Amino acid sequence: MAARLRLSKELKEISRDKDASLVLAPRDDNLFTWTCALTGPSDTPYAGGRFHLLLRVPDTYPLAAPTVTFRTRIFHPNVHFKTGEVCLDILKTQWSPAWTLQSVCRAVAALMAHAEPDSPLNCDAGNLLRAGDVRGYNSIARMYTVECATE
Amino acid sequence: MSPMSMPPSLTKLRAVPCRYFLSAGGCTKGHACPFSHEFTISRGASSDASNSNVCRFFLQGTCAYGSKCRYDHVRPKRLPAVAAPCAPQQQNQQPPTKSQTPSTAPASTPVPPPPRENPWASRAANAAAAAPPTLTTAAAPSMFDNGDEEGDDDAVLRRERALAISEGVECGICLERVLAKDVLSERRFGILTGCSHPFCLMCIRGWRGTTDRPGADIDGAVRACPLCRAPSHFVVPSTVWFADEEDKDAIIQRYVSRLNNIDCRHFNQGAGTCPFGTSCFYRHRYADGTLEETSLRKYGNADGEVNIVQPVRLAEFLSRSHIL
Repeated sequence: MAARLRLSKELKEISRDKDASLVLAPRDDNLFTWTCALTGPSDTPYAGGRFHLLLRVPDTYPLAAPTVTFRTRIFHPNVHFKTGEVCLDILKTQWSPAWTLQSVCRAVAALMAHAEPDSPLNCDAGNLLRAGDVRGYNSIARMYTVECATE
Repeated sequence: MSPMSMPPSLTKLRAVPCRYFLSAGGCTKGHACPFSHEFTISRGASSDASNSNVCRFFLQGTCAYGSKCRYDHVRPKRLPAVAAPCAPQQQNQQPPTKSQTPSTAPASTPVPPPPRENPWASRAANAAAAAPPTLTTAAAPSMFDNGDEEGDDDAVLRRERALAISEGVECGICLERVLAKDVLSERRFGILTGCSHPFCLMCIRGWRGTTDRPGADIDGAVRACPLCRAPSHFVVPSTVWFADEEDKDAIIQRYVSRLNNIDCRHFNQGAGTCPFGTSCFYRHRYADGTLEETSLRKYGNADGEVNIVQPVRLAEFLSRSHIL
């Protein structure tokens, strides 16, 4: 009940200020499943790509964090290559009920720009960055962006 | 919880007003409470909302909880003349009630607290006639009314200002205006001691209760402000938001001193052990009236950490012993 109220409040807030680089909407009028289309941040290998996220909101939201998964394939140290699972501290231990779905999506966009190779879900990407092979990482990430995230 | 989904025995309780929901601490069950959280019903039961925190059994002189009672054991001071004859009668009854047989009890029919004007409303009208009347003054139970002494004009102005500020304050968790929430019992602020971010009492208590979440960072996230992560050790319920630090300290002081007049049920007059020890807000008083002495035994270990030794009772060993 509290979750529904809060989500409809967030929906109202989102429809007030539209942002083309972050399109967030509930899927099939179900307030507990949201989709987000995220534009890859500039100056990253993901620039220009359109990444789709799926946000599943638990009944206890906002006391529990939503689960965020990438529906678009992405080569990133903190995103599982096959399942699209995201490893982000604010979605796990550092969650706070003051976060909104919109700010969570912004945090994911920030994660794309600033990867954390020390806690990788995609070990290949993490190892490339940890070995200092930025050029190799950039070219693979760019390839998958062009391949999978360009419409 | 909707009445439809409840067993029939619980639907009957819907008609009974919840005792806690108008008290300063609020009803911790919120929507899950089987009792009524309708303000209209409660107003019928107790003629004045600000009286609802006064123990009605104390007014009859028969409160079985004595100093452990969660309600205020104070007699309304500003009684109208009509109620005056009741007062001596109550006082005479108080000492012999325990020896009296129950058959004499119905003779003293429960006298509901006489309706009295809200002192704040009338004083505010005299002092500052220009101030617009606020609904919350009459509707919400007030922490400010719990004090025994009459407030002076400065306090009235202060309260008016606090109410005006409180009107627009939004909770950082449910994002709603706290004083505009549908359920009256939820129109309460939870003040954090560590910072000045506003939350409603239900939201912040709910968040701080999520310690069983797997992987929860209890000290870094759960026990901290959701907005600024400043740690706070406790939440203070309040019906108004504060204007400045001075007001905040006054609200916290009032809350702590109120709790300090209630006997701790864990300590249980020396028979039990309070898990909060010397940090407990409730009163640790022995049966003979002496207060517990707060002497902490500390020890330092090889790493230089200082720990506090929990007091050990002989009774605990005896109750565990197989010989007895």
